[in-house]
Amino acid sequence: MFSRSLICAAAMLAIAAVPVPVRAQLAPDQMTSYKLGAPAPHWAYIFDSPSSVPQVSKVLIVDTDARKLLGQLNGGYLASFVMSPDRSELYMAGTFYSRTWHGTRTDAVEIFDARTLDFKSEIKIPPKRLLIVPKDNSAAVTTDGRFMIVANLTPATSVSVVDLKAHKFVGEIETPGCVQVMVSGARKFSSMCADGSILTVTLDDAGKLAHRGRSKPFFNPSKDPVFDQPAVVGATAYFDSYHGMIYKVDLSGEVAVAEPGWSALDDADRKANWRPGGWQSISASADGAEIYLLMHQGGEWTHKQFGKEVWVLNAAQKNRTARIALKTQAYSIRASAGPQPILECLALLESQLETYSLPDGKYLGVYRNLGAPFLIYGP
Amino acid sequence: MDKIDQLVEHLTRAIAQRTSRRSFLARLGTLVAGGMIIPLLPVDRVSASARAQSLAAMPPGAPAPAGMEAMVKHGNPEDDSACDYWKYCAIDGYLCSCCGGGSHDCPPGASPSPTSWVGTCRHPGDGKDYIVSYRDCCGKTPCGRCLCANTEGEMPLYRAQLDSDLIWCFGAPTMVYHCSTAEIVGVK
Repeated sequence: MFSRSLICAAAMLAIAAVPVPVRAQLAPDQMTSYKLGAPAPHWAYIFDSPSSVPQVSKVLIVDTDARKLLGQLNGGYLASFVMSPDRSELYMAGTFYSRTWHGTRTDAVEIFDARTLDFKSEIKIPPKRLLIVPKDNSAAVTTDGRFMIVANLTPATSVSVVDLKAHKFVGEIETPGCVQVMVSGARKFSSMCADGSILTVTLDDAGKLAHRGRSKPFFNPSKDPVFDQPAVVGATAYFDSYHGMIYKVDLSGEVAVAEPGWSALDDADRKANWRPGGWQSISASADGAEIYLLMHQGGEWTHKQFGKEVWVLNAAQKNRTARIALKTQAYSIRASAGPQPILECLALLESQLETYSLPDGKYLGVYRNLGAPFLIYGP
Repeated sequence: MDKIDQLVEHLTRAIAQRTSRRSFLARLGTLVAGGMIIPLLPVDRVSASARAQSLAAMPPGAPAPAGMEAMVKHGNPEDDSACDYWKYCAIDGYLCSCCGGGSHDCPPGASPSPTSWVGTCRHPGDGKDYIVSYRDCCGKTPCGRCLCANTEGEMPLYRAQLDSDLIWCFGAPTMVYHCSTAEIVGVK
């Protein structure tokens, strides 16, 4: 057997060493790994949470114009995906068990090169990460790219602060009664609180707690709760509520300040039972001038129903300017950036992404086979 | 407060029956030491029974509410492998009764979570409102069968005790979610 194996191996080596005769017009292939160019405005970063094995999260990068998959990023159990502000790095805050589904728990921020999608390094954090069906504000990076803030829930609530420049875990900051992370500056983030208020945390240059300020409640969670994934543009957050109220909240100061809410619905809409819903139910244009709401018709407690229309709202005039009927009911929406923004809609059950032109809402096309696409991000 | 006290008592009794006193106190101590920031009080959700009843009233095969077709399985309200089984009025997840377990028992090898949230469901037979503790079974990858997403009374994450998207495996050997159960704690 040995001699036969040896002969086989020698033969294979000989084949490998001698160029295979090729037709003259074709050069031998050279195998490489592609690299990505600079992200284009119509690229979509789609978080696929494999429902059978959530121990390995996926982010699929799709060119929505070419309707082509560009690459894939992996992360740990129910990971949180974040991009660096300069788009040079991608981050996955994940949870790992030493034996995949049992054993010792380790939580870490994994750092990837945004061009090559190569894994670069990791920074360990306390094993306290918020573990939930993926939400887009379970972690965030400060606007200067220095600190990553990771939400914890054990069920006590806090955040882990990671210094991405010094490549180390800085410490934990308690956020009593408040969860999730909305970054609004180089040293500032805010969280949503159980009483309908906002907690704003200001960091010092070392990433430690400098100030904690709690706003007044701006809505009544018992009567009409706001969804917990607002659209954040710069230091402004736009919240939508179960009953269709819109709240604009300024997160730039040491204490958040909310403007009085207004309804996206008129009497006829209310009579027809229109209301926001889904998973990522609200998005905003890059300049915050337009708000996009995923809408369905349903009664009380239908806040996770799929949406069949996207309503375009003028944030300053506080009125509706357009209604876009969707070809397929969506669970999450996002308005892209760039000179020609498009509307990107994720259909969870159909495992697909549909795009529409803005502001006219013309159907542009579909990209399929996206797994269980819960979240959509853009450059 | 009386109602909350009663609910706490019910839940405490239920947990104490299934865990040693020492382990229960240790877990409670951990939560208190952690700041008790998210209250773990069980929460009364009487209104949740309305949805169960409305679903139960729908004939088998009737169209599900728009957008919920794949998430709602219609069946006999006495069938504990169906989303409209009376105890599941506020359940969200894979039914353990479809995964080798029962309506209030974990499949073999999966661990009951000592933490949970609580709803109130009306039994269609005796008309009584029962306090139901929704406890996840943990330690294996998701079962993937009989997904139910009953959202009556469900709140965003800042009201975490009412958020069913959280992995409710706090205090279990691992935070790996397998399936969900509904355990009668008492009569309201």
